[in-house]
Amino acid sequence: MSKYIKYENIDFRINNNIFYSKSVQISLNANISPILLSDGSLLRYAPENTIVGSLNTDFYLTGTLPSFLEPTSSSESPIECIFAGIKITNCFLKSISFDVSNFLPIVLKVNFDWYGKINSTNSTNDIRPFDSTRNPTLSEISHANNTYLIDTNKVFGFSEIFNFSYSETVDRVPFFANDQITPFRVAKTNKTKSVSVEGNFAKKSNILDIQGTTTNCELYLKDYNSNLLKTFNVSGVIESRSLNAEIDGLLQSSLAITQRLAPLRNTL
Amino acid sequence: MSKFINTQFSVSGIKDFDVNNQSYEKYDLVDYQYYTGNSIYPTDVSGLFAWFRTDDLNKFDIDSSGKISIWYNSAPGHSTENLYNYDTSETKPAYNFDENNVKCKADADLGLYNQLYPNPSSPNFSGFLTGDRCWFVVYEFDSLRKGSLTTPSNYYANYSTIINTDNANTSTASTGFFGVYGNNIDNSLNPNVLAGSQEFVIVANDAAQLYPTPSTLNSAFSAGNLFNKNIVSILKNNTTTNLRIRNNACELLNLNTNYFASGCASLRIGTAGNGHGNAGLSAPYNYDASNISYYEIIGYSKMPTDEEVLKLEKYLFKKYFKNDDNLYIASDDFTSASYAYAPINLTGSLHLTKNIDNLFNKTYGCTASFSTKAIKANYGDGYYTNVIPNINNLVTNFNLNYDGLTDKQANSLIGFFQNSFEYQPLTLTSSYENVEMSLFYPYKDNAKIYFEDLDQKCVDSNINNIAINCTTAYDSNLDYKGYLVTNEEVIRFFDFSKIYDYNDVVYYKSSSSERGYYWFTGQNATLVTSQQSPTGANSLFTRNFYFKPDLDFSIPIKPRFLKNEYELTSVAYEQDGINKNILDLSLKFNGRSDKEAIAILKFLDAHCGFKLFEFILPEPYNKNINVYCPEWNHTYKFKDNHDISVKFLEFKGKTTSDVYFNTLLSL
Repeated sequence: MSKYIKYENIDFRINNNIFYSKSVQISLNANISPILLSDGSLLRYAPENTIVGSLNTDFYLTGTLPSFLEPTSSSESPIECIFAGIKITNCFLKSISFDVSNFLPIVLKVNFDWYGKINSTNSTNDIRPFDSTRNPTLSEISHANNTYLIDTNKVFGFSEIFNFSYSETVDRVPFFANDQITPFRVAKTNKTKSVSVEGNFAKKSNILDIQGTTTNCELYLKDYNSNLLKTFNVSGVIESRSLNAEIDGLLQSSLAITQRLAPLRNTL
Repeated sequence: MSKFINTQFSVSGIKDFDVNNQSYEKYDLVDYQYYTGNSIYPTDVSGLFAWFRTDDLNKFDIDSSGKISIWYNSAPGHSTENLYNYDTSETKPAYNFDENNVKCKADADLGLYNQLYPNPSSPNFSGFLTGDRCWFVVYEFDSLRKGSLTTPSNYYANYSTIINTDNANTSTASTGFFGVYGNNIDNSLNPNVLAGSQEFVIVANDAAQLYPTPSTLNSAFSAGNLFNKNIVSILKNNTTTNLRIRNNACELLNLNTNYFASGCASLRIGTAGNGHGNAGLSAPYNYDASNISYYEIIGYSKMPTDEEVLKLEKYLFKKYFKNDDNLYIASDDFTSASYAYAPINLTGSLHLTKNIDNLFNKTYGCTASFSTKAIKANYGDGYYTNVIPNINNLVTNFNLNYDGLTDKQANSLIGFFQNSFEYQPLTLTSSYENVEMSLFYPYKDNAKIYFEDLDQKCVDSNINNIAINCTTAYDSNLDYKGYLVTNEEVIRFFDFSKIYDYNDVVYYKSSSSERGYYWFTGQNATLVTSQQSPTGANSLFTRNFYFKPDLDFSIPIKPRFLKNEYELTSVAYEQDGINKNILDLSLKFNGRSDKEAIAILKFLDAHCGFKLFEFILPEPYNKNINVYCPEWNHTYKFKDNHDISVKFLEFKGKTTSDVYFNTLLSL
């Protein structure tokens, strides 16, 4: 008979902060290639690069969003994640995103790359139980009830917003010193923030500016009781718009905003 | 920062070295100048009475054994007041041609010492018994012994003389002795002494104490590193009794005292003659326990002004501390509060460095390219020989990758790179000073390289990749250890008691032509028998190129023939002698492990770009031919992953008369 473990209420921590996580996935990928010799034999599988892992998790935010979960910040420091008896000390944040729809709690999705070792030989041996402080009450989780978006430049043109989503991503580039398989630096490049919004019919004219319409919006992420968890700001351009209409459906308009962050260089 | 320095660099932000609580951040470029004013020539300061220098051999009288009998005084008007040694040759110092100094050897255990001293009939410098005086000495210790005399419960360090100005050969207790107290790296008598620095001592009646404890005066610590060159300035105002001791621009002592006062008008240097050994006091500790080398000694019968002191010290610094000024990199965040933080001093060397190995990571993708300078002399019929024009026939280029640098790090590395072209030659006949640094696996970790060019590429804001192209110009492949692949693992002697793994490399010692490097081709973890030894009947070792190239190889065949085209006639093809098929092939060995890569590279390194070896062509040729490898390239792709490409040229007509220089040098 197969043995299996049902993970219920497993403690999940990022930098020792407890998160009300819905799911966690850890995977890794070995970059190897076969080496074939002139006599036709297989010499070995040579490591082309280090083993790169990924860690993805969804969670409800139950408090202020910590700064180490801001992908576009200047910090390149590693983050420690602990889950189901597995500790990974060299996690590097790549993205955070969430969708906001009426009447629904907001689930934040976070992606990490990780390098080096994980400290588990049998993850069932070190499973830590659910921490009661993780989820005080369901009313204190991130929720669409009071979360809202402000179009400060008033360029959206919606009379009503149905839903919106936010995404903040960076590419992480690892650099390895000779003889090492864990990076000495995992730099951040291509820092972008984006917001996509769906609303009713557009009331805006002159929307064909080929360079994109500059916009600024502020997103206030709150819990069910309207406690502010985090304010996001996107100052970018409207990248795309659409208008959809169908029989028996709603007239629905959408737009996407993107911002490429360009931190100034300041050597000295 | 000097205007000259500023104009030589493409980067900005170079900070001046300052001692007034100046803060520096890691990777700051710091311009260190000993003293920003001009230097002054010793004769341009009045009162010069002693000037012993090593500028040319005319400054010495060297006896038939090559030892120094007289070191002539260059001070004008004092040509008769020299330093002598009338004793046996064993007690005379030698002139060190390599380092251009006067070397006084000492070994207290052997009773060995070297020294120079004034004429016994006139041991004091004229007119110097009562006035102000100062000494400037440039010296270097070899290796201070920690002190060999011990009692069951105690430890006693040695004294080593720098100068002794006492009236020599008297039993009077000294007041003008300046030396160093033991070797505080191994053991310090005073816990306040910074490990690695010297504990200067000015000894008076210590010999009367059975086991002296450093007094306040005896605890004047050096600023400089124990075994580096030092400038010491002893400044005595005999009127006010003020004594100042400076070491490498750092003032260590400033107090009123009777030391170096009237009567201290002589000069003894070397490893004995400090007046204690013959004082009949039976001091139970050794004096003079280290070799010491003198570069220059200057004495004035006056108290120079502060500015004159700085100028004279700068004269000595510029002369003997070449390339120790100009650009350094801050290795951490620190605040400079005194001259102890100068990079030539021990404290400063912990914060300011020219060693980039500890500051910047070389990253994967580093490459090495080798080619021979051999000149191919063709004899026809496919026969030729390689003429080696000089002893160092291999040309090597390294491309060192420094990826992922922040803007600050890139700024720092570019500045360091450009600064290397400002180095001065250390001798009249040499190139400007090289950069000593480690290369990458499996090459030398103490290579002396010259930078040639730098390629900086900006990847993103605050992400820079830098590649530095450099060469090792003065490595020789005449050493049996090899040219550049000299790791301990590939220069071991063959040993029957050792267990060998596939691709192990051994050096087989023999007086016959069988000596040399062999490569193990047996199974891992084999304890070889005599039959399996390098010269055994069923040897598991080989000197042939047994490594198999990658599967995707190609071998072009271009037979030699004559094609004559006559006007108005058809083409005539004719034979061109014998040996028409001389192969010229390129092969790849990609994705090889560290173990195999170092074995391949050692093989190529040991064959110097021109020595012949056997190689079995892969299928469908499957023939054993003689080749040599005039060019090869190596890329360190990732950990345990190396790409190597080689060029093999077939050689016909190998004779048994081929003789190579393969002398074993036992070190």
